[in-house]
Amino acid sequence: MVETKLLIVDDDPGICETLSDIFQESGHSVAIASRGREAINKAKQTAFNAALIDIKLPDMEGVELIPLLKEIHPDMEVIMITAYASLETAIRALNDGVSAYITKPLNMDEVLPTVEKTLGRQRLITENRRLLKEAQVELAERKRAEEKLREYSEQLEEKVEQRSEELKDTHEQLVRKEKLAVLGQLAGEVGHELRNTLGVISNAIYYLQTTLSDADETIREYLDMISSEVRNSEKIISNLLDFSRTRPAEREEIEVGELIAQVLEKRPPPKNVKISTKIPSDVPPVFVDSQEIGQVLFNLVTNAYQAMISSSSVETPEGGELIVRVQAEKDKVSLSITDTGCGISKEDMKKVFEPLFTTKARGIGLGLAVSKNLVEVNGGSIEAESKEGEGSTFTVILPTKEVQS
Amino acid sequence: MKEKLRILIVDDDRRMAETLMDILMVKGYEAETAYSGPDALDIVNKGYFDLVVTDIKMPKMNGVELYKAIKGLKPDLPVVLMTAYSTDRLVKEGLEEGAIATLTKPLDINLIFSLLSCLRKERSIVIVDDDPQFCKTLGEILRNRGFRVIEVTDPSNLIEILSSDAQVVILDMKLNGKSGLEILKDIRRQYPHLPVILVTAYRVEMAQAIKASLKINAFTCLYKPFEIEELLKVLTEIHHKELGRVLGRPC
Repeated sequence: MVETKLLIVDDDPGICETLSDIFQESGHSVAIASRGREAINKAKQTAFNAALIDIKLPDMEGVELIPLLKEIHPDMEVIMITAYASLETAIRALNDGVSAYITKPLNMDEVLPTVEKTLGRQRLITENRRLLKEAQVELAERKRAEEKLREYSEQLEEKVEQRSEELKDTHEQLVRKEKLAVLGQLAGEVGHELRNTLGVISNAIYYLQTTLSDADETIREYLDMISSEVRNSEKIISNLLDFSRTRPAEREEIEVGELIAQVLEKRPPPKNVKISTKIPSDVPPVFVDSQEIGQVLFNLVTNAYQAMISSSSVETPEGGELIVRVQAEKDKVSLSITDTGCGISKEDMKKVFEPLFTTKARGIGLGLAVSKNLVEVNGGSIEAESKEGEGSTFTVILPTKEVQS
Repeated sequence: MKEKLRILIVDDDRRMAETLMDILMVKGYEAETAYSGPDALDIVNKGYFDLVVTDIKMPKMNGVELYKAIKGLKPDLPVVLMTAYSTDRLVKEGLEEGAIATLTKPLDINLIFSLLSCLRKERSIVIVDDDPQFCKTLGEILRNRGFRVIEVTDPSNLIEILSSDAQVVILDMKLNGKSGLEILKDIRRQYPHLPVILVTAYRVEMAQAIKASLKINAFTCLYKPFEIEELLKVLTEIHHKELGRVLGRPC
């Protein structure tokens, strides 16, 4: 236990001695001052736990000394020694910051318990204060922690929001893919059934065209019309079927130039469209399903022609140039098809590869979606660039050799 | 010129089979229809046909099963498959088994006509061998089988002879003064795709030259003395490949 230091302020040496004896016997250390000034000087040097002050000092009133001492040690307890133990005095003293009082002549049974009680009270206060301080520190820490937590939670919220957004996107993509899968399956089944039907119609027309070769012009014209519509329907169905197809790509090494030549042979340019191909001789063969990539190039070339001859706008003249560029890059070959046609608006650009998106008056908007699918199952990628009114470039990047997956 | 070609059309969709039959008949061919695989097999067994066109997807017996049965019965009879399902695994199986080609519905009728006009043509074979005896006997056998045969014992003006409508060349690997490989090279310069069947009695001696010849697209090599059935099988294979090419199959 820490030693308790007491200060006795009284000009009566007898009382000082008596009190000092009592306290020292109880294990307290004691200092004595006979005047107020002296008491203040001693207090400046030692942190006393309590002071016992005579109510009347030679140089000042005991009550006057209290605030002076408290200024030095705010926690110091003050016990007044008084000969007039009136209630009035007691109350006044307590109001002035006095914790207790003892009366003269000294009642020995009363002195020690009063002082011990006061010291006990002080210990409690100190302890309380310590606890309070600890509590405050803890509180501050907790506050800091809370602050941190709040910060984290804000960040978390942000992250959650961001992730939710991503999830939503993914979900939407999934839903779209699923819808497309269902659509694809349905389209596949319907498409095949329609092919059977178209087969019969097509045969019937052929028969009529053959047997009615000398019919009047209108009849022949109508037969031609039906015939060409059957072919159109067949084309749409083929696209649908390509879209819904699930067969794995049968990949082999093939020269890009050969692929392009085949496509241009199958799809010769319309009038007013010039074709120039820039294929370096040292391009390695690509490793793809030639039928599937042929289909992709066919679609891209067809689109390019259409962009150049469908003059929906007056200012773009019909015709133009189709440029096919091939470039080898590391283990890939990039093949770009550029047209000088009507171009694609920024708004439409975002959607060009989406299925069922089309700007054509006729068509169901599967060509590019199919192309993207086909390129991707062949380990490649496809990109589009365009400027409205100036033309578009579609670039297909294809792998050159079998990549171990 | 042969008489009217006879075609059997098989489809469980009667309208498809009938419209196709009507078209063929109006164009001067003889055509019959069957609406199922077993019926078709029955008809093929009883009569003569130059071509069978069958749908793949049919109940009971599908087109590929029918084709396999026909192949066992009449290996020479060309069979064309047709389907609305171009990505079907049966399509692949049918082609691997040796069907001429697969056509997608709706049919491009003109392809059928090109095929038929090809079938109508007499198949001509040029035999190049410095052994007149071999030429004569083989030529006789092939003529009996309906081929037009030209026998060549002196290869010096072979290229001019080929310029007519030769479809197949049977070439001996060792002729007086000139090797078969050299002659093949001459042929290739002018006709990169003309089918050439090599024949030789010297399997070991010629091994190197044969290997080189196969590299420049000789169809196969037969070793004397060979069974005539073996040669006919190769000729059928070549013929069916040619027909497939007419229908747009890559060679």
